[in-house]
Amino acid sequence: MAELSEVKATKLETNKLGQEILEILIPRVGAIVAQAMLDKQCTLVGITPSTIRKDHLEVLAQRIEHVLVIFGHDGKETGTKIRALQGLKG
Amino acid sequence: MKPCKECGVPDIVGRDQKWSPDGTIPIPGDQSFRMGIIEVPVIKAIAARLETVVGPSIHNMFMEGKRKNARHYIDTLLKGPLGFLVRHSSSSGKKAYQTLLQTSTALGYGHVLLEVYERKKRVGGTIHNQYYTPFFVGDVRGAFESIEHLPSKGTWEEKPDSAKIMVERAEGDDKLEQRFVFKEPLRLPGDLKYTPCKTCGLPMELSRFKWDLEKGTITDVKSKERVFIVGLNDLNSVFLELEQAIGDAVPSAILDVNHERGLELVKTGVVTGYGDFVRGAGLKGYGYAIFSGNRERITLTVKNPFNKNFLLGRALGVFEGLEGTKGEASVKEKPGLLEITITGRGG
Repeated sequence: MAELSEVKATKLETNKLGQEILEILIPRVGAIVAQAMLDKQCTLVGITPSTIRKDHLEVLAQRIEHVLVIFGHDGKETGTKIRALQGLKG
Repeated sequence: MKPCKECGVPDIVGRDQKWSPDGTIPIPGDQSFRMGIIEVPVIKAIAARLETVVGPSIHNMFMEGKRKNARHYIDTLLKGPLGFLVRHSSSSGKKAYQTLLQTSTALGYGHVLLEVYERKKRVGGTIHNQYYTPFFVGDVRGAFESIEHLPSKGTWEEKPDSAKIMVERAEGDDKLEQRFVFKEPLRLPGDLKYTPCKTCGLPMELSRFKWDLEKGTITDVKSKERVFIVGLNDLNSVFLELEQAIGDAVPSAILDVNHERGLELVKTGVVTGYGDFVRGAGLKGYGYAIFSGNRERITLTVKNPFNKNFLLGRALGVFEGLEGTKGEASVKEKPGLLEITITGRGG
């Protein structure tokens, strides 16, 4: 069923890795796009921002690198930072 | 360029677009490339709505979507010896830009003055009565890339009634070359009939649009609104790429703006029944629509739909406007086919 909608800046539920990715993205694209982007890319990978594991980081980094280009960013630096979360404790 | 004495449509419009019985408006050089007539307030509302989510970079995205399709459009116009001449002579190059700017006037993009042209370096000028400047810069970039065979970058400075634009040769890799690409799905046949103009052969129904070739504007006489003729692939390429990036905010924006539009079309008397909606959809290139149902439940089947959320929003708004009740919609999709069913919620 079609539902008409309002664009809302609701807080995205994330786990620790999801929060770290958001903190990388927000300075580049702002909070609303960062949340929408993480949510969408997780969906396309078949996970949610609350269920991101370290083994998802490579594919998410690739997807986000790809997406950031249309926002006028060279996504490589961002991708490198996301991959570096592999070393995060916990 | 001159308007038809009978229907008023400029000859250049009929030369470069064909109104097909399948509810689309393809260009003669590439049947997969379809044009459409869009209301200026609608594209502005969609861009504004997306800007609240994405920020100002939305305008660059619209420019990108436009430039690649504009390049393709111009490539199809400049095939063969004409293209060779244009691309190998400075005077022919300048003439080509001027001719293309005339075309853009006929498409309702505004009145353009070419002020700067340096072959293989830059092209620039002023557009008056602009409809949405990023789109137009995309058009000029597409022209530059087609004529000069070089990558481009574009800038613009917006003023209240005009905009200064400059397109220049870009250095380095084009990171967006493979992006903002939309492939039209399977095209289904249709038997939509128009009344041909006895003079130019275009649909007489187009006489509801009034061309002002001095100002570069097209006005829908029924709604008194400005419209323009645009590549629908251009719009879909941006919508699709952005939806893949950030998800539901994109279809929501398209749906909501067109829901409001559908309500407005009924409120202003432009649409007084589903037949108006169906005929308008074909004439504007949104697809071949068939309506069935009654006041409680309608089904709109659209062959070759332009965009699901665009049509769904509009159909829902028209239903609610005509029936005076909120509607609930469900959608079925197959390649080249969209079926929208709307049921009244009552009250």
